[in-house]
Amino acid sequence: MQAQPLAPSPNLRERFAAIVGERNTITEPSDLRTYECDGLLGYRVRPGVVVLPANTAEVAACVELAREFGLPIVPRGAGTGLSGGALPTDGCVMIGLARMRAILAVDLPNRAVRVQPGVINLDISRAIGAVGYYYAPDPSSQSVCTIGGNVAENSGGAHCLKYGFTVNHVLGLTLVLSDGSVAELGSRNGEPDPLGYDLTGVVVGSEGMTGIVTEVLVRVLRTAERTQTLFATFPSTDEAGDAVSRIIGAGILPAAIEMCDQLAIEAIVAATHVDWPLDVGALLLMDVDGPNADVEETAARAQTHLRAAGALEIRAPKDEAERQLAWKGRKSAFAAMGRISPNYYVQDGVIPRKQIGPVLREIAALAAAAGLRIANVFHAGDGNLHPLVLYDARIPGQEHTAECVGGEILRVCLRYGGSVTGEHGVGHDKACYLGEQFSVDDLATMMRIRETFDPEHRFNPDKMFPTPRLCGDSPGKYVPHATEASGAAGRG
Amino acid sequence: MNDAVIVAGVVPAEVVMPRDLDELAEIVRERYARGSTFAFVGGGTQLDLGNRPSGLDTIVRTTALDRVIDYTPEDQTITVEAGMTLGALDRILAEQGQMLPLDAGDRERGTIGGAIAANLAGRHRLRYGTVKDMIVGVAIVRPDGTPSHGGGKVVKNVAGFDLPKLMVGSLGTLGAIATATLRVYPAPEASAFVTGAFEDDDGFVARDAAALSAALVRERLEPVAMWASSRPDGRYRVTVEFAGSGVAVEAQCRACERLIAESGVSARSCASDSDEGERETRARYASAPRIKTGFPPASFAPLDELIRPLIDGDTTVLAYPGVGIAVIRPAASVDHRALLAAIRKREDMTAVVEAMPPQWAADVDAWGNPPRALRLMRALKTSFDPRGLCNPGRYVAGL
Repeated sequence: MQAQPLAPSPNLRERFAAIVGERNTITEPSDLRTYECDGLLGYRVRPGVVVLPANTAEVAACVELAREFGLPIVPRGAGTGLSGGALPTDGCVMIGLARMRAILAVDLPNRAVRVQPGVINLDISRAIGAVGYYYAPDPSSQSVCTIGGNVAENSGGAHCLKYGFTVNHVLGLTLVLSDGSVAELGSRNGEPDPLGYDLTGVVVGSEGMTGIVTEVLVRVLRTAERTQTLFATFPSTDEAGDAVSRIIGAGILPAAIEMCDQLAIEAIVAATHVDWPLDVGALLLMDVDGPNADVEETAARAQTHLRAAGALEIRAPKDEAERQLAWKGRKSAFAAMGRISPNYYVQDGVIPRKQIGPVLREIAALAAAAGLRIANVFHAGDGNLHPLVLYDARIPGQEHTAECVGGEILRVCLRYGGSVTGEHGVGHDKACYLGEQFSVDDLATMMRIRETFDPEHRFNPDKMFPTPRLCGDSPGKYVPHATEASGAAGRG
Repeated sequence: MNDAVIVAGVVPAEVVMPRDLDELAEIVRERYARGSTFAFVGGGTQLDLGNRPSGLDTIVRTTALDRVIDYTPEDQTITVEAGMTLGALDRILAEQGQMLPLDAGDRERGTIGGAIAANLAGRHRLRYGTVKDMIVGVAIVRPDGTPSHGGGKVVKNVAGFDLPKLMVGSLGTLGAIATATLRVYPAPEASAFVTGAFEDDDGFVARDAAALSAALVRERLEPVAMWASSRPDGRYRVTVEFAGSGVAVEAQCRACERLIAESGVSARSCASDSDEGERETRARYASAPRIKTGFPPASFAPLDELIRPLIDGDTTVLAYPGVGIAVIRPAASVDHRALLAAIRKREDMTAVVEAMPPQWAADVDAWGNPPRALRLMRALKTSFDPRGLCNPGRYVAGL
């Protein structure tokens, strides 16, 4: 079923150039280097050709041409993804959406904005911020990542705790399918409950395997009347984790609750100008937002729980600049790791949020056993861990050890009833772990959905699904169906 | 056995009631293998929704599948079997001060599985969204009897294709929902209503109601619901509902009263124990005929203008301007076909017959124009149900 690359045809370049223009057809090996990987830096594969179309019609023509040549297609936004979702397949046609960066329509009365996929996430909020609106999903890479990539990965971010993920903010889509046809999904102008199956909900998070998204209608929100940021330090991650459980358990829904452990604080302080204390075991950074009266009361209640959990210090930023600085510190955490380690491997797993303390202890034990350090900086409010496994690639074997520790962390997440990815996606990186989360039948059902859109596996082959080629012969561990888990049935 | 189940006018040959999830899978597998047509029914509150089934040998009633599989209040998630009623779920959650903010007409009959399949959502979707915003995992039984999962038990999860979202609103055409994991919410400490326009007032015209809805957003108030109910004179009485901490509710009610007064209409606040909410629920889920229209949230006034010449004073309109939904109960004198046709002619509006009276069934399609992506939807349906046995004929465009 899988599209296999043929020998590159001599007129391949010419044919693509006729669609997107010479300048936007990249075949020089030195120019292709940029496209050999995304944010998952450990893997590099050279695409056959990179094309940069300008509109839906050009994308459709490129897809048709790739099909004619029998070549696989890999879509790419800004290449900031961390799971290798935009890692090329050998000799593929890579369709880069970076030139499609127009905000097509701003419709504030309907709280909807139509954009091309190459629009930078933060640019939507920038375009409408002056009139008091914003786009809610805020991945840490929001100043560089694109909406098309966010749609592919169903990206989250710190403030998704209260406001939901990309899928909760995409109203409709234009999608180029594998036969070059164009499908319009979901809402046209913000009308609710479009008829039929929620294909928009399926395409969001499908990791570029359903088609190429060429337009997105997103929902935007009115900025809250007030946002109160709180910063609290703790002796260890146990107390910080307990504070999160207490706050969520008490029915408080902050906009965001982020946690950094001691090692992450050290890196962030070294890389930015935040004045965070270095002699603490963990800190929480929290936003409470809403109407004035609500924020005041909620922030006061949250502080009570922070204290009860054993906070060493609680402070609020004295002004907006200080608030922005604190969040900048948090959002630059991954990049800051360079201050304390030559290399790092970012993991992304989810656990039930009441289990933060015990899981972080298990992760620390894994690190100690492997002789590596792990920094933790993550979305504590929704249990989305980001352990950063620090290593030195110059030491033979250490990169491999780091990857193995990363894999073991995912197994810990699954043991606690969680997931192997909360926002970075499965991509290339975790395809072999998906079979540990889902049964063979579960994956077969997902494959039916994928093949509805792309029967030939033209788009982003070799991603997400565990295959013998990627993972060896073991298709993964058996996961019981609810019928068995509930004790109602066995697997006779 | 229950002979009272009639789905969109069709009486099934048999009604079976699986006692557990394994039996559910077995029943589906067996019926599929022998080529029987089948449909799933929970509490049976939505049996007037959709077109007449083209085949209905077996009704599978899910009401005995009513157990809690896992509830972790600290995580604000619960996993339940699909046949649990919303009322039973409400009571379990209430013990922990939590709730599922999903409105329904009859919570003691309506089930979780049914709410997901029919994508039930009422006035509180303004604040809390719809099933899509609450569902984090499902276990299903595919039409061929194969059990399958998607999503998980944690609130944040992007592993694999999003099967839970696909089940929302699919009206049981892609298989049976066996269990669901839902994100639940803290029950608010207090709530209150602010109403504007009374019987002796001028009341709002649609444009004013729409302007109030926009003003609530502009002033950054955060109501949990806002609706406008028509009066015989064609004007509207509006109600805004706030919930949260006592202090915040109080402050927002005052601000809302000021906004209403600015539009020249008298306003008053009433406590949560007034009958405002119940009155809305009764009107929202009144018996057939009932049409649900969807429109871009800023288009309430254009919708009103469009339907006004086609309805009369005995027709009731219950609108949710900030959401873009209006529920119309046309009086017997109204030409319902002309009304549906007028709305359906607009590209960004929908008109679904939520409750079809028998006398309409012969010449009215419950859904309206086929969706733009019908080809993909058909392919998906065929992929899940190649023999076309699972709830045939009733859903959008015969899916």
